[in-house]
Amino acid sequence: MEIVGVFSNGKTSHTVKAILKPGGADRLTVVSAESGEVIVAAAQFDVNISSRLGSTPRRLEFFDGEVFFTDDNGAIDELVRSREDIGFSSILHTIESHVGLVVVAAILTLLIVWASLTRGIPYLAREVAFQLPQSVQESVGAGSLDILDQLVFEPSALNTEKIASLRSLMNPFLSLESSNPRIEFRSGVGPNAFALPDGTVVFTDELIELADDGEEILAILFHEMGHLHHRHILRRTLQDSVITLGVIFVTGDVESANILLGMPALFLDLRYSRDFEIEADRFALETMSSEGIDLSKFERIMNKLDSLTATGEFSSSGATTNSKLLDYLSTHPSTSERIALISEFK
Amino acid sequence: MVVHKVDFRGDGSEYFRIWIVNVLLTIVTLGIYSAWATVRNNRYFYSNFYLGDSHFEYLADPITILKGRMVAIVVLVIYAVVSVLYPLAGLIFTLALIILFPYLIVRSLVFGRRMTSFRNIQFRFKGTYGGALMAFIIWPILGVLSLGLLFPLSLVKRNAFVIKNSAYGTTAFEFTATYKDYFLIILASFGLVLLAIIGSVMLSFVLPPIMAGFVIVLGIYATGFYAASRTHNLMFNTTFLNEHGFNSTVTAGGLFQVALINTLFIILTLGLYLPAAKVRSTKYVCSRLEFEAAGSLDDFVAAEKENASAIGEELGDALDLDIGLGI
Repeated sequence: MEIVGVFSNGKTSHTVKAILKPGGADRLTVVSAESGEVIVAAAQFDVNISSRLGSTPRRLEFFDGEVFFTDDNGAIDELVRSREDIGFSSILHTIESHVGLVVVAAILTLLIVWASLTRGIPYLAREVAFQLPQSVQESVGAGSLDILDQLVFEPSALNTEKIASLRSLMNPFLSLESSNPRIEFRSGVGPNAFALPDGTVVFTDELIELADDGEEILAILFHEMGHLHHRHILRRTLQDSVITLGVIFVTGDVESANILLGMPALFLDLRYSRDFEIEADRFALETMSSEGIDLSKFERIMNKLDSLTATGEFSSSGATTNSKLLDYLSTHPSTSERIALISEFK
Repeated sequence: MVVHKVDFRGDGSEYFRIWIVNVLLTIVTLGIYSAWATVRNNRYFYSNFYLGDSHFEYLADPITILKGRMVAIVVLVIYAVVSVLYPLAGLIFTLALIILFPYLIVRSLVFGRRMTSFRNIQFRFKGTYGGALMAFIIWPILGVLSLGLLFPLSLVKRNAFVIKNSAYGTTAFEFTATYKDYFLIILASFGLVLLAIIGSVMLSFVLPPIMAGFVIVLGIYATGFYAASRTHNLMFNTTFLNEHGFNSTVTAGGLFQVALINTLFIILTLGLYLPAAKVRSTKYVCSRLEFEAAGSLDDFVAAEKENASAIGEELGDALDLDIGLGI
């Protein structure tokens, strides 16, 4: 057997056409293609042979750094069949060149990625979020009210008596959530309420006007307290960071991560928001039934919010502002799932 | 003068097979396999990169990379924990990382060059801490402080540091780009953005505002591709190895076409097109690159063997020090 290739001695960039001759007693000999002169010879086990990688050329390195390159992958595979040190890489090549196994690998990868995005990462984020001290959650959201005040909120136009009466309505219930939320009133973004990570709950004037009575306002308050209770913003931050790191780690470069991360931002946002909304609804409905408040109040106010926006499940704030930040923080109006949830509590 | 074609002989479907097996093994080994995956990915790209009839090689040992990666992760975890629990200590840590940053860049370049070989001669890098400090921290700061006037010069200094300190065997690369070269590209980019803004203002009289806004976005994108193509060509066309030089003719339209197709397919295939996309863009850039040899390429001499550790490179990677340069 003769294997055609190129030889380079590793001292200069000069290359010569050469032929590799596997001889007896597991010896490998490289001879010049022109003169037939022996250039280098060694026992096969002293020659470092690169593993197969697609159809890329093979590198056979001799003791003094001399290298024989060849494109003849078939012949080299034959040569190293008995060598154990190359065994694992040849398994890799077998998998890579088998169409069925590659398809299985692709499906398995997609399934694992899907399962981690929808189950694994949210689960981990929840476990970690509740292990971290409250101060971490507060530091995540430090200053967010100031930022919102500068960017989107207007001061509330409600008079001081109205505010005082709203505060005395809500105060008895605030201690139901361990972070003891602070209540603020603003306007300028349509009917909405926000739970900020530092434990502030913001009501807009428009939402207050929309509510027919105090119990509807309490329903909203409990929903927002549900967001705080379940540490949704901290969990969201954790989830986003883990996904970013995961994509970089798995694909191995920052560049592709940038393209891929556009997609979770689009699709996962919707899914994660919905899961969080359902948790917050649950908290609200549980609190209402234990405080003896009519559950239909929750349904009424959510329906009113829904009919105002009426552009779909997830667009509560989209209808009034395009702020990404608000999307993260806003409550979402009623959905068919929400109605189903209420009937569960009735 | 002999013109050698630069040729990327990789194949999208072949690389996909290698890539998907890498991704799966990386996931099931919780990331440990990523060191082997990196080596296999890099080997595939380097080995398919041909200058004339000879190919490049990537020689790194996965174990070296794994060690570097573990050091990087330990450092980052300590950093994250410390900065949450003791904000002041975190600040000191950040400062230490800034001081360490030029060192990491140098180590990363030393490792990357050492592990690259052509015709069995390795590349090398001999930049110093002081050089990296100037090129990557001091000059960019001066660029900002001078309100952008020195920004073109900071680009010259950065590329000069990376390229002039690189060598093929014992032969160092030369870099001849000037302040003016970069200044003109930046000036033209500003002009394009300005043109897009003026055009969109004029269009806003006849078109709905959303369309006019779209023109600005389009203009900024086009400028991005323009600047990327020109700086890419400039870097290659002002780089020399002895009397040998490059001729790169990448165009903004070409880059845009590649990016558009890639992004579209990546989204449609839920990311599975990623490896083929990398092959496509590499193929395009190589198809627009020639090596103009002034004579024989046989006489480059190897340097003494040195050991290079991967710690710098991996810590750099983990901290996202993407210096985005490579020959």
